[in-house]
Amino acid sequence: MAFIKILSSLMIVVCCSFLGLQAANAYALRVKELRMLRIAFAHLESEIINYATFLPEAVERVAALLQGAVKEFFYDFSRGLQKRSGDTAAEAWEKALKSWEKHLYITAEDAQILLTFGKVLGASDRESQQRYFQIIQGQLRNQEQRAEEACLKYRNMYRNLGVLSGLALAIILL
Amino acid sequence: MGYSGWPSGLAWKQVILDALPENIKRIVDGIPRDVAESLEEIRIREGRPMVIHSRGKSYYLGPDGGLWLSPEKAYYVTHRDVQSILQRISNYSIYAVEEELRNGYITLKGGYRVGLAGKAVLEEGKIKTLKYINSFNIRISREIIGAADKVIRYIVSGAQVYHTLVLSPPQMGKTTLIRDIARQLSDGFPGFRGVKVGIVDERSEIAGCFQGVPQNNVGLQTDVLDACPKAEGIMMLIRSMSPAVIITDEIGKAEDVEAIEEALNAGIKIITTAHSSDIGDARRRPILSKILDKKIFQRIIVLGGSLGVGTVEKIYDGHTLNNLLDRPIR
Repeated sequence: MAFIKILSSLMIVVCCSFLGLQAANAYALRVKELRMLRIAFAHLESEIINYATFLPEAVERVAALLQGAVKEFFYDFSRGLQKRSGDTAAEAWEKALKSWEKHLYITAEDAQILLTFGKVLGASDRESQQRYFQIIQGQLRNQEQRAEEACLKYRNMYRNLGVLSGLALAIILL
Repeated sequence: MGYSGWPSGLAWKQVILDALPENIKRIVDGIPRDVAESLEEIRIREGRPMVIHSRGKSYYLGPDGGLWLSPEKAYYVTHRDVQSILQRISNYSIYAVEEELRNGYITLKGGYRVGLAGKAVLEEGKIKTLKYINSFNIRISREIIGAADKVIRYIVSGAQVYHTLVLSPPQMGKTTLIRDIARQLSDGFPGFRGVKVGIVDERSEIAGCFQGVPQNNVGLQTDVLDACPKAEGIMMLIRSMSPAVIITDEIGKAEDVEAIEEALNAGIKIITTAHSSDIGDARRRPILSKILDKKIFQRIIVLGGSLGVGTVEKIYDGHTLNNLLDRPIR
């Protein structure tokens, strides 16, 4: 009997710790994704400003350089453009973002910034495209900074909270 | 152009429908077949009804593609439609077509041209770009293989090609004619071995290049300088591509004449066109009359509409100015 009790308590502690780690990780992953998005937009800017590559092709090339869910999001956007399914690039962007938002760790606020950027992507001359890219880089840098602060603040807390609440639960149930 | 799946008169649908947003696409696709087969222009203007031109007639388009003679039942184009069209014809990349916007047209795959009108943005007195684009003119050009059959024996003698000037009012088929002349001189035909041909295609109309590749059949031995100013293009071809014949569209500037003389001195034959209804009319224009006085051209072909679009009204011997035709041919 004692053996089963110890085993189940251990399980509870492990599970709670795991949940805590997950919550803590989400903060770190958001920072990572925001950084990845900044890299993506830097590449995209280069394709658009320096090479005047057509948008569907430019997005595909950029996607090849990325990783994880951000990569899939960019591929999805590029496919939408290549299939010419949306009337405008903004529509294709919104569609791709809506379907990938739930797989990303970015917050609703981050997503809103991306959505706004999508409305102007490709839709003006080179000069103003460059300005928009500067704006999005600035905004994402801001978000990244905030995400890092939040990460520092809450990561350890959630980690500890997971372990401690697991222990507390185990003690109560024992 | 040989797209499979569409009868030749409807080949334009493949490219043009793809460039249009859903609701406009539906309208254009609904145009009755007999009119669609001879469609020449689709005019789209913001806030105004859609209009098409076919066989010299114009019709208002209803929301289902039906044809109307008065605008009441026509489809009125919205701001959103215009924005969507602009995005789609530029492949969602306005920044990549700045040069085209400056020139006032975008060339689609297949060589179809979309003319644009809006507000010009100036920089130091020159047009920098267009904004608030609100009018589109989708021109459905049809390449006619064999269009030059009836004139080719007048401009070739043995292995020699004559310097030729084609005079014609607008929309009478001069580009169609010189395109086919380019093809025949380049590929050759019984009694004539093909020669190297260079085309300076300032307005992308002769070869209809899409990203630099000719979409029209302009011949196996033809090099195309796309969107290149005529005078500079002629010089570039002379320097680097050693053509036997240079073909270009619509001369009219003083520097064009200089470039043509340069080509003559290099022993290159020139075939070109000008807006004009006959020699008498051409003489009233300073640059053209200068060219005619110099007797550069050995053949002068006059196109008109007396027997329908593309009628060859007259072919003059450039030196004697005798008409070599008994009557107009088509």
